[in-house]
Amino acid sequence: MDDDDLRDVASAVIRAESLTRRYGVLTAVDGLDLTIQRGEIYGFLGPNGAGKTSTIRMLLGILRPTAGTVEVLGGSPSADPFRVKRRVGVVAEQPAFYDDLSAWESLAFHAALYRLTGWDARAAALIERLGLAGFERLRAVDYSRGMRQKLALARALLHRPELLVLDEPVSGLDPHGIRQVRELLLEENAAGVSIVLSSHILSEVERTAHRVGILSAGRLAVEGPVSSLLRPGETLEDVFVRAT
Amino acid sequence: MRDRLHAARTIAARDLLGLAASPAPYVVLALGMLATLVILRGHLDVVARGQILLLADAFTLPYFITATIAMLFLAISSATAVARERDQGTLETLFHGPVDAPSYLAGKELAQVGAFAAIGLAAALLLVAYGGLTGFRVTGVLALAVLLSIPAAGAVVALGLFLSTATGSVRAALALLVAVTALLLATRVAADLLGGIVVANNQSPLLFARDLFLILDAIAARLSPFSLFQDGVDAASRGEYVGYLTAMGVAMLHVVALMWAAIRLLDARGLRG
Amino acid sequence: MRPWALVAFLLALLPSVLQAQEPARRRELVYSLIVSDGGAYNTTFAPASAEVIYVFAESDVALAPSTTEVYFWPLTSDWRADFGALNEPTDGMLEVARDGAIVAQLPLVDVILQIDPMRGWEGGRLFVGPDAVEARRAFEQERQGYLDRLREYGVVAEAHIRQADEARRLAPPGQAVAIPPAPQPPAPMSLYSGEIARSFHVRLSAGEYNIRVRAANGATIVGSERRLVAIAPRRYGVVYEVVPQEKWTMPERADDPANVLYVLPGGVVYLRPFGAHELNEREHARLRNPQELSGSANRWTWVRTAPATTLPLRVDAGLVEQGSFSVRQLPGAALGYTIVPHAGPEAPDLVAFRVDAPGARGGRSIAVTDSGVLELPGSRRELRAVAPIADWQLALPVLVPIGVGATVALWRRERVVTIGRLPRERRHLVA
Repeated sequence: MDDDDLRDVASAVIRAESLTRRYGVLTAVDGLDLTIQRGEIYGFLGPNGAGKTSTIRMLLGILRPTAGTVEVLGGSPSADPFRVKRRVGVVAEQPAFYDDLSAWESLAFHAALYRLTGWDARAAALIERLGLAGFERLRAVDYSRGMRQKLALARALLHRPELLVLDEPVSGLDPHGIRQVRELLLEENAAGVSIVLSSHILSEVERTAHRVGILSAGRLAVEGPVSSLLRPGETLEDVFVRAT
Repeated sequence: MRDRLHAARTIAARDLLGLAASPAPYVVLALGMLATLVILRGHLDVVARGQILLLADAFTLPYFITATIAMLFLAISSATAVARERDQGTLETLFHGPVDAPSYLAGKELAQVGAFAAIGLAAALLLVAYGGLTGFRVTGVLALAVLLSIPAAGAVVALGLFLSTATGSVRAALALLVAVTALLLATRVAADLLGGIVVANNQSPLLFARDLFLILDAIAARLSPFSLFQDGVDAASRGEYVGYLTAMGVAMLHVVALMWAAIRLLDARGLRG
Repeated sequence: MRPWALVAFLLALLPSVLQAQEPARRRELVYSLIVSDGGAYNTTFAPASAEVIYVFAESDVALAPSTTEVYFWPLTSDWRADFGALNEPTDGMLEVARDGAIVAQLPLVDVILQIDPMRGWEGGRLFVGPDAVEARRAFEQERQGYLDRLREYGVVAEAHIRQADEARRLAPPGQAVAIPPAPQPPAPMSLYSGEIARSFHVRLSAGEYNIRVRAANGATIVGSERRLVAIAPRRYGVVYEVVPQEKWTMPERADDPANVLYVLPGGVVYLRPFGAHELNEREHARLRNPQELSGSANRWTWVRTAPATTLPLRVDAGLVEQGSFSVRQLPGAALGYTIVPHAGPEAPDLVAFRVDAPGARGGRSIAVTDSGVLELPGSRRELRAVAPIADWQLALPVLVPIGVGATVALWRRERVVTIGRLPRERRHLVA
């Protein structure tokens, strides 16, 4: 193992080797090798049906791979969920909340699950930052689509995770909201949080991510730093279309 | 294990508060007390008319009815629990965090059993109040019935959770639960009813039907939490504490077995069903 | 149809009609039984179709095998024996086995069943061997004595009638005639006795056995093999016949030791306690009739053994002695009756313990005691007075959970806001 490999092992927050997932005769993820470094923002892209969601679910330990291995923050998310997932924050494509809890109560439940103490101040700060102040007592399911996305992000950040996995985090947000989220994510990343970002809004990925990987038919078609992937005058959309 | 217990407790607390804030437990309790009112009114009328009423225990039957209504409600609630969370998306959200199948299902079980325990205790207190109002004696058998009803309810909830993990939708889980519960209850009711019929003709088809249902009931008695509950209370009434403790032990065994099966199923089927 | 054809048709039917009225008979070995359920003896028989014979454990039982004609009686759906047509007693030894091992080999002996309430044999008593012969002899002697007294009474009564007629004939018209009191007939016999029969006498502990009759040459007599189950009580106790003051013609039975007797405040009950034991309902039914199929295997029944009226009844801390009571119709327009202490030569209507209920809500403890000290197991009951109560009071516990639920719902409404309850100026922000 050379120095690059050792560096990889020490600094990788996610390592997937030969990751495969089949649904009957359909192969959704086909021998995927993926390494995401600590401290980076990794854009995880692909067209519909490319296998992104299945990959993310396997990385989070909620879908069993047909073959291959997954390591998150040095541990197995399925075999050791308590140690691994405590350090991961997740925003799903369609965030879900209990229909009988207010937004604040949803955060309180999350805090209890993660054994947080003194979380009120951080929760209030995140609520304020994301423009949800004044709606804490409203039922979370009554929030608009964009507000739910923001609340989900607040929930994912509440326990100060080392790794954020975001699936369409700005979906449903207006430009103000998109900017709020972007700035927050960049701040968290500057503080050391690694981020896996999956989004169809490629302009945001281009502005935010350090590296991108583009999935096509279950395999990584393209991967690399954003700057090195773009040809002069190109946008990430051009790279995406070319790769898929 | 500590992490698992914490996750289970947290999920249980959330669900328990959700149940407490819903109208269901209060409706269940009110229905049970309504049945009690009808029964006690009947008893009081008998005393007023016939001058004497012989009764072993005025409150075991009302408690049994209340507990059965509560168990049926919890059975429906637990049978739809996993499927409902799956449909809502909160199941997957939970498993994004420090939760696994055993802690999730244990939390669900704890919440429902905790809710039942609260309903049972409240029912017992209200029945004691009825005793004070009417003069009917409250016996120690009521306390034993309350104690036994908790593991019996645990078995019902565990059955519901098992069915919920086994099926892919709320509708399918409900249908299966209704079928199983109806079958078990119907067998017990039929056996009780037919057993009480006096048949003078030795060739009557009723005799064959009765014997058939007695056999089915004997089998169901080992499987049905409702039968375990009833048989245990009957044993306590007679002072046969071995029979009472056996019923309690078998109910707990059901809980363990069904929860183990539910956990294995959830692990195997995954969160998407 | 022509009339002659109709007549011919009906005549053709006649043999089959006649045949239908005559049930088919067959010869088989049956057991005539004198069995007790621990309370009373009963005579019955077990045809071949009754593969299991039930007896009461640790009691004297008589089994008499014989060959007879049996026929199926459809009205009651059971087999009947026509001992009048055929009754060939079976000779041999009764072999009783348990778990494959022979536990007894019994010869035929004399047995006789006698019943005499005056001697305390209300349920009957089975005499065996020489005692049976002696019992029969005693019965015949007593019967002869009774017949002699009856004959003497007849003579004396006839003489009294003649004397009375003569006195009336000789008395002046309009003058009252003093006639001496009529002679009293002799007290009727209370002893009933059956005939001496040759039977096998068994007395077995609880369990399951196999029986068969072996002939003198050791061969098993065909049809004599049966299973025999000796049943034991599940519980022992005291049961009460409860006679309410206002409905003495409809007594209740307080069998279950857990029974509480509920009455109105100030009510009166008359109690007649009996020793009892609890048997499985199905087993008890088949003990009394081996062909009986009614009776449920998952129910239990209390069987009375003997009255316990000679022992004092403890009510709370005091003792109550048994009393004799008469029923008196209430005079005048008032309908009904009352129960009063008995006085007078005629027999009392009721012999029981009188127990008064508390005047207000409350209870009294009742138990049969051994000489006022030790309480007989299973005899304790409670007599409680329950007062009428208005429907609205009964409805209160129903309203409590509704009230609590409404309170919780209101509290929750304050804590968690829905869109409709947001200030109007903020609602568009959530849309």
